[in-house]
Amino acid sequence: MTYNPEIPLVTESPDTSSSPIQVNFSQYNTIFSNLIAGVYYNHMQMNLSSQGKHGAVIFQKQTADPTVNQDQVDIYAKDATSNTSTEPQLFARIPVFLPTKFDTTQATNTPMQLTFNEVNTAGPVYQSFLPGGYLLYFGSVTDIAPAIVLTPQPSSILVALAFSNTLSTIGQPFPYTVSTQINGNTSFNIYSGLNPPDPPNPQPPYSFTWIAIGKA
Amino acid sequence: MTVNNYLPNTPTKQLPFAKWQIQFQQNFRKLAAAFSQNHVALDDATSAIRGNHTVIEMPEVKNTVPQVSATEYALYAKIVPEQTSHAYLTFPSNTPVVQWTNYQIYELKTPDTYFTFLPGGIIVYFGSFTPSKKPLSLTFNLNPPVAKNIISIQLCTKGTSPQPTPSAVLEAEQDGFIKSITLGYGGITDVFPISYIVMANT
Repeated sequence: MTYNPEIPLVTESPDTSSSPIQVNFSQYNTIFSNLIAGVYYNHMQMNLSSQGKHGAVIFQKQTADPTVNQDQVDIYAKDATSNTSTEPQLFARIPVFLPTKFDTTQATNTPMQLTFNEVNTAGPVYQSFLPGGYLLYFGSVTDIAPAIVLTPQPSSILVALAFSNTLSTIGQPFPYTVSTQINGNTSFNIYSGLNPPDPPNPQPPYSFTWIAIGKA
Repeated sequence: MTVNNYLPNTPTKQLPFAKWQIQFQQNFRKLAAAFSQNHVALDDATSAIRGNHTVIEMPEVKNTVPQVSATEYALYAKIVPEQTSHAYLTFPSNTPVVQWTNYQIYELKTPDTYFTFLPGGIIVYFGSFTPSKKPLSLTFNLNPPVAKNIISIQLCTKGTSPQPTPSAVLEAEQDGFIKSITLGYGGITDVFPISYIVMANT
């Protein structure tokens, strides 16, 4: 059974029209809200007090970006390619508003990728995502000798910062000096010494926290 | 094909059958056309995806914010002064109301500089800067120049030679925005490239 927007036909009798009309009402009801295992897909069912509101919103992946006119925001799903795969992601497109008197950049309303299909909350390399197709990594280490390998692997590591949580135990208690060196798009190293003198390197136990941002 | 208006009050008892047939057809057409604005069509060839959302277009909510119950969540568009419409979230029981998108993300002209945003009207600047004492260049710019309040500044030297972290000095310009950060090295003569993450309110 399929919804038919061209019925009822004026040439048909009421008796003949009744069935296609019933099909349309039934189809609309089923398509508008699909209840499966207690979940209302897309919209709340007709005749509920919440009818018409959204339940679990299902986005059908698009192949093109919508055009945004003034005074509205569009949310949709589209494929985005990262270093590891091509997956549908949620995008937002807002109206063009640049340049302004504060920001004179001539920027168009390029769609903004809001999501990435992976997060890691187990550590030791924690990872989430930022709008713009960026990946946010963070964690802490008690041994800075090994490089910190970022997973999922970004297409590029844009920044890597580290911070000493430990004061030196030799001489005056200063925070350890620190620097980071990015190794391609796979990892970065933390370097540290005493301040002053520099080196020798930190003696365990010590702790450094770090944060890095990469392009997906 | 022109689709006339949806008629919510058809049929009426006085209407002859031939007339309400036409009006029913008009309503079914209008329903299908309106529905397909943001959804996979009611009569799409692939039945399994009928009704799924294609794009959620949200015309701006004006003058007020949506009200939701303890079991509801609202996503909508609202104007941000001096900018444009942005996506907002109203959490259950109407608290909090959070601005989700904050600014148009675009590619910056200065190499190795980037920005993104966090919910709550926060902009995150990040990138690299190479200071020098001769010639004197200890200031890096925050682009786009829309930071009204700096929340946090994280700095770290780049490279294999660990260094003390420089201090950061920021100064609001006359228009109320903080557009740059100046690094402080005191008496240290050797300066090194740094990475930075700066969070600010817009």
